[in-house]
Amino acid sequence: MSRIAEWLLESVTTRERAASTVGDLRETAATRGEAWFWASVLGAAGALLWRGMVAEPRRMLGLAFRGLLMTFVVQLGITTIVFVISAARALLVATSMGLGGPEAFPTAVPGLRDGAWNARPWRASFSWADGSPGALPAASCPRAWR
Amino acid sequence: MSETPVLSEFEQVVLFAIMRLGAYASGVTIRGEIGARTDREPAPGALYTALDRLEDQGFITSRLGDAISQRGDRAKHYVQVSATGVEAVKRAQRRCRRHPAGWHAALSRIQ
Repeated sequence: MSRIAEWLLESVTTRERAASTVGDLRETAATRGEAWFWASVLGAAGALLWRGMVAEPRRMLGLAFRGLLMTFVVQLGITTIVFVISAARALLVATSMGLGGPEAFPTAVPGLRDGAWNARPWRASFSWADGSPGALPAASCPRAWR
Repeated sequence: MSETPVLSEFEQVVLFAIMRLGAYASGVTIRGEIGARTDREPAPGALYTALDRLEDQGFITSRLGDAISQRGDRAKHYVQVSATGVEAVKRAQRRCRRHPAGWHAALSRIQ
Protein backbone atom coordinates (compact mmCIF):
# COMPACT_ATOMS: atom_id res chain seq x y z
CA MET A 1 0.00 0.00 0.00
CA SER A 2 2.91 2.34 0.71
CA ARG A 3 3.99 1.86 -2.91
CA ILE A 4 0.71 3.39 -4.06
CA ALA A 5 1.25 6.34 -1.71
CA GLU A 6 4.79 6.75 -3.02
CA TRP A 7 3.59 6.62 -6.63
CA LEU A 8 0.95 9.24 -5.85
CA LEU A 9 3.49 11.61 -4.30
CA GLU A 10 6.05 10.97 -7.05
CA SER A 11 3.69 12.64 -9.50
CA VAL A 12 3.88 15.92 -7.57
CA THR A 13 7.44 15.93 -6.22
CA THR A 14 10.82 14.26 -6.75
CA ARG A 15 11.27 10.50 -6.24
CA GLU A 16 13.61 10.94 -3.22
CA ARG A 17 11.32 13.46 -1.58
CA ALA A 18 8.28 11.22 -2.17
CA ALA A 19 10.07 8.20 -0.67
CA SER A 20 11.24 10.11 2.41
CA THR A 21 7.79 11.70 2.90
CA VAL A 22 6.09 8.29 2.78
CA GLY A 23 8.78 6.98 5.16
CA ASP A 24 8.09 9.84 7.60
CA LEU A 25 4.34 9.27 7.43
CA ARG A 26 4.74 5.49 7.78
CA GLU A 27 6.90 6.03 10.87
CA THR A 28 4.31 8.30 12.51
CA ALA A 29 1.40 6.10 11.38
CA ALA A 30 2.75 3.29 13.57
CA THR A 31 1.12 5.10 16.52
CA ARG A 32 -1.68 6.94 14.70
CA GLY A 33 -3.12 4.33 12.39
CA GLU A 34 -3.73 3.65 8.72
CA ALA A 35 -6.53 6.23 8.33
CA TRP A 36 -4.18 8.98 9.51
CA PHE A 37 -1.51 7.76 7.07
CA TRP A 38 -3.82 7.98 4.05
CA ALA A 39 -5.34 11.30 5.14
CA SER A 40 -1.80 12.68 5.46
CA VAL A 41 -0.68 11.26 2.10
CA LEU A 42 -3.67 12.82 0.34
CA GLY A 43 -3.18 16.11 2.23
CA ALA A 44 0.52 16.23 1.34
CA ALA A 45 -0.20 15.34 -2.31
CA GLY A 46 -2.85 18.08 -2.51
CA ALA A 47 -0.59 20.69 -0.91
CA LEU A 48 2.40 19.77 -3.13
CA LEU A 49 0.16 19.75 -6.21
CA TRP A 50 -1.07 23.25 -5.41
CA ARG A 51 2.49 24.46 -4.86
CA GLY A 52 3.53 22.84 -8.16
CA MET A 53 0.72 24.60 -10.00
CA VAL A 54 1.95 27.93 -8.70
CA ALA A 55 5.69 27.25 -9.20
CA GLU A 56 5.67 25.15 -12.42
CA PRO A 57 2.39 25.59 -14.30
CA ARG A 58 3.71 24.00 -17.53
CA ARG A 59 4.75 20.77 -15.80
CA MET A 60 1.42 20.58 -14.00
CA LEU A 61 -0.42 21.03 -17.30
CA GLY A 62 1.47 17.99 -18.65
CA LEU A 63 0.52 16.08 -15.52
CA ALA A 64 -3.14 16.99 -15.98
CA PHE A 65 -3.03 15.79 -19.60
CA ARG A 66 -1.46 12.49 -18.48
CA GLY A 67 -4.24 12.09 -15.90
CA LEU A 68 -6.89 12.73 -18.55
CA LEU A 69 -5.32 10.15 -20.86
CA MET A 70 -5.19 7.60 -18.05
CA THR A 71 -8.87 8.22 -17.27
CA PHE A 72 -9.75 7.47 -20.91
CA VAL A 73 -7.72 4.24 -20.88
CA VAL A 74 -9.26 3.05 -17.60
CA GLN A 75 -12.77 3.90 -18.81
CA LEU A 76 -12.19 2.05 -22.09
CA GLY A 77 -10.95 -1.00 -20.18
CA ILE A 78 -13.93 -1.00 -17.81
CA THR A 79 -16.39 -0.56 -20.69
CA THR A 80 -14.84 -3.47 -22.60
CA ILE A 81 -14.97 -5.77 -19.56
CA VAL A 82 -18.60 -4.82 -18.82
CA PHE A 83 -19.54 -5.39 -22.49
CA VAL A 84 -17.90 -8.82 -22.64
CA ILE A 85 -19.51 -9.93 -19.35
CA SER A 86 -22.93 -8.63 -20.44
CA ALA A 87 -22.71 -10.37 -23.83
CA ALA A 88 -21.66 -13.66 -22.21
CA ARG A 89 -24.50 -13.45 -19.69
CA ALA A 90 -27.03 -12.61 -22.39
CA LEU A 91 -25.90 -15.62 -24.40
CA LEU A 92 -26.13 -17.88 -21.34
CA VAL A 93 -29.61 -16.62 -20.39
CA ALA A 94 -30.86 -16.92 -23.98
CA THR A 95 -29.50 -20.45 -24.23
CA SER A 96 -30.97 -21.57 -20.91
CA MET A 97 -34.40 -20.24 -21.96
CA GLY A 98 -34.14 -21.83 -25.38
CA LEU A 99 -34.40 -18.48 -27.10
CA GLY A 100 -31.64 -18.52 -29.61
CA GLY A 101 -28.10 -19.60 -28.98
CA PRO A 102 -25.62 -19.38 -31.82
CA GLU A 103 -28.41 -19.26 -34.41
CA ALA A 104 -28.94 -15.68 -33.33
CA PHE A 105 -25.28 -14.90 -34.10
CA PRO A 106 -24.54 -17.11 -37.09
CA THR A 107 -21.66 -15.06 -38.45
CA ALA A 108 -20.15 -14.04 -35.11
CA VAL A 109 -19.62 -17.60 -33.83
CA PRO A 110 -19.49 -19.78 -36.94
CA GLY A 111 -17.71 -22.68 -35.22
CA LEU A 112 -20.59 -23.17 -32.82
CA ARG A 113 -23.13 -23.86 -35.54
CA ASP A 114 -22.13 -27.50 -35.69
CA GLY A 115 -21.93 -29.55 -32.58
CA ALA A 116 -23.72 -29.48 -29.26
CA TRP A 117 -25.88 -26.51 -30.13
CA ASN A 118 -27.48 -28.27 -33.09
CA ALA A 119 -28.48 -31.23 -30.93
CA ARG A 120 -30.99 -29.11 -29.03
CA PRO A 121 -34.67 -29.99 -29.75
CA TRP A 122 -35.61 -26.38 -30.48
CA ARG A 123 -33.06 -26.29 -33.30
CA ALA A 124 -35.45 -28.20 -35.62
CA SER A 125 -38.42 -25.85 -35.53
CA PHE A 126 -37.35 -22.55 -34.01
CA SER A 127 -34.81 -20.05 -35.18
CA TRP A 128 -34.44 -16.32 -35.26
CA ALA A 129 -31.69 -16.45 -37.82
CA ASP A 130 -34.09 -16.47 -40.77
CA GLY A 131 -35.83 -13.30 -39.54
CA SER A 132 -39.17 -14.92 -38.54
CA PRO A 133 -39.53 -15.51 -34.82
CA GLY A 134 -42.17 -18.20 -35.23
CA ALA A 135 -43.68 -20.02 -32.30
CA LEU A 136 -41.75 -21.67 -29.50
CA PRO A 137 -41.90 -25.47 -29.76
CA ALA A 138 -43.74 -26.97 -26.80
CA ALA A 139 -40.96 -29.45 -26.05
CA SER A 140 -38.29 -26.74 -25.57
CA CYS A 141 -40.44 -24.36 -23.48
CA PRO A 142 -40.06 -24.30 -19.70
CA ARG A 143 -42.96 -26.03 -17.97
CA ALA A 144 -44.33 -22.74 -16.58
CA TRP A 145 -44.77 -21.30 -20.09
CA ARG A 146 -46.93 -24.12 -21.45
CA MET B 1 11.80 46.89 -2.33
CA SER B 2 14.31 44.10 -1.74
CA GLU B 3 14.51 41.06 -4.05
CA THR B 4 15.00 38.61 -1.18
CA PRO B 5 11.85 36.62 -0.45
CA VAL B 6 10.16 37.48 2.83
CA LEU B 7 9.65 34.63 5.27
CA SER B 8 6.13 33.88 6.42
CA GLU B 9 5.45 33.28 10.12
CA PHE B 10 5.15 29.53 9.56
CA GLU B 11 8.41 29.42 7.60
CA GLN B 12 10.15 31.18 10.49
CA VAL B 13 8.72 28.61 12.93
CA VAL B 14 10.01 25.79 10.69
CA LEU B 15 13.47 27.39 10.42
CA PHE B 16 13.67 27.86 14.20
CA ALA B 17 12.74 24.19 14.72
CA ILE B 18 15.41 23.08 12.23
CA MET B 19 18.04 25.25 13.94
CA ARG B 20 17.16 23.82 17.37
CA LEU B 21 17.28 20.22 16.12
CA GLY B 22 20.68 20.67 14.46
CA ALA B 23 21.89 17.70 12.43
CA TYR B 24 18.85 15.52 13.16
CA ALA B 25 16.14 17.68 11.63
CA SER B 26 13.84 15.59 9.46
CA GLY B 27 10.11 15.71 8.72
CA VAL B 28 9.12 13.68 11.78
CA THR B 29 11.37 15.50 14.26
CA ILE B 30 10.49 18.95 12.91
CA ARG B 31 6.76 18.22 13.33
CA GLY B 32 7.41 16.99 16.87
CA GLU B 33 9.51 20.02 17.75
CA ILE B 34 6.93 22.49 16.42
CA GLY B 35 4.18 20.59 18.24
CA ALA B 36 6.11 20.71 21.52
CA ARG B 37 6.84 24.44 21.21
CA THR B 38 3.49 25.68 19.93
CA ASP B 39 1.09 22.98 21.26
CA ARG B 40 -0.06 22.45 17.71
CA GLU B 41 1.48 20.07 15.20
CA PRO B 42 1.46 21.33 11.61
CA ALA B 43 -0.32 19.28 8.93
CA PRO B 44 2.19 17.12 7.02
CA GLY B 45 1.14 18.74 3.74
CA ALA B 46 1.86 22.23 5.07
CA LEU B 47 5.24 21.19 6.47
CA TYR B 48 6.51 19.38 3.36
CA THR B 49 5.37 22.23 1.13
CA ALA B 50 7.18 24.73 3.35
CA LEU B 51 10.35 22.57 3.31
CA ASP B 52 10.19 22.34 -0.50
CA ARG B 53 9.76 26.10 -0.78
CA LEU B 54 12.57 26.86 1.68
CA GLU B 55 14.93 24.53 -0.19
CA ASP B 56 14.06 26.12 -3.53
CA GLN B 57 14.82 29.54 -2.07
CA GLY B 58 18.16 28.29 -0.74
CA PHE B 59 17.29 28.80 2.94
CA ILE B 60 17.84 25.14 3.80
CA THR B 61 19.99 22.34 2.41
CA SER B 62 19.11 18.66 2.54
CA ARG B 63 20.91 15.33 2.54
CA LEU B 64 19.64 11.78 2.35
CA GLY B 65 20.25 9.52 5.36
CA ASP B 66 20.37 5.72 5.53
CA ALA B 67 17.35 3.56 4.74
CA ILE B 68 15.60 2.24 7.87
CA SER B 69 13.45 -0.92 7.99
CA GLN B 70 10.93 0.83 10.32
CA ARG B 71 10.16 3.17 7.45
CA GLY B 72 9.84 0.43 4.84
CA ASP B 73 13.51 0.79 3.82
CA ARG B 74 13.09 4.43 2.94
CA ALA B 75 15.80 6.99 3.63
CA LYS B 76 15.31 10.03 5.83
CA HIS B 77 15.68 13.50 4.38
CA TYR B 78 17.76 15.54 6.83
CA VAL B 79 17.67 19.31 6.47
CA GLN B 80 19.92 22.10 7.73
CA VAL B 81 19.56 25.86 7.70
CA SER B 82 21.98 27.53 5.29
CA ALA B 83 23.77 30.84 5.88
CA THR B 84 21.19 32.53 3.64
CA GLY B 85 18.46 31.01 5.80
CA VAL B 86 20.00 32.32 9.01
CA GLU B 87 20.26 35.76 7.44
CA ALA B 88 16.62 35.59 6.32
CA VAL B 89 15.48 34.68 9.85
CA LYS B 90 17.48 37.56 11.35
CA ARG B 91 15.97 39.96 8.84
CA ALA B 92 12.44 38.71 9.55
CA GLN B 93 13.00 39.07 13.30
CA ARG B 94 14.29 42.62 12.92
CA ARG B 95 11.14 43.41 10.94
CA CYS B 96 8.97 41.85 13.66
CA ARG B 97 10.68 43.85 16.40
CA ARG B 98 9.93 47.10 14.60
CA HIS B 99 6.16 46.50 14.88
CA PRO B 100 5.75 46.84 18.68
CA ALA B 101 7.80 50.06 18.77
CA GLY B 102 5.60 52.80 20.26
CA TRP B 103 2.96 50.20 21.19
CA HIS B 104 2.91 51.17 24.90
CA ALA B 105 2.38 54.85 24.11
CA ALA B 106 -0.42 54.05 21.67
CA LEU B 107 -2.10 51.77 24.21
CA SER B 108 -2.01 54.40 26.96
CA ARG B 109 -3.54 56.93 24.56
CA ILE B 110 -6.42 54.52 23.76
CA GLN B 111 -7.08 53.79 27.43
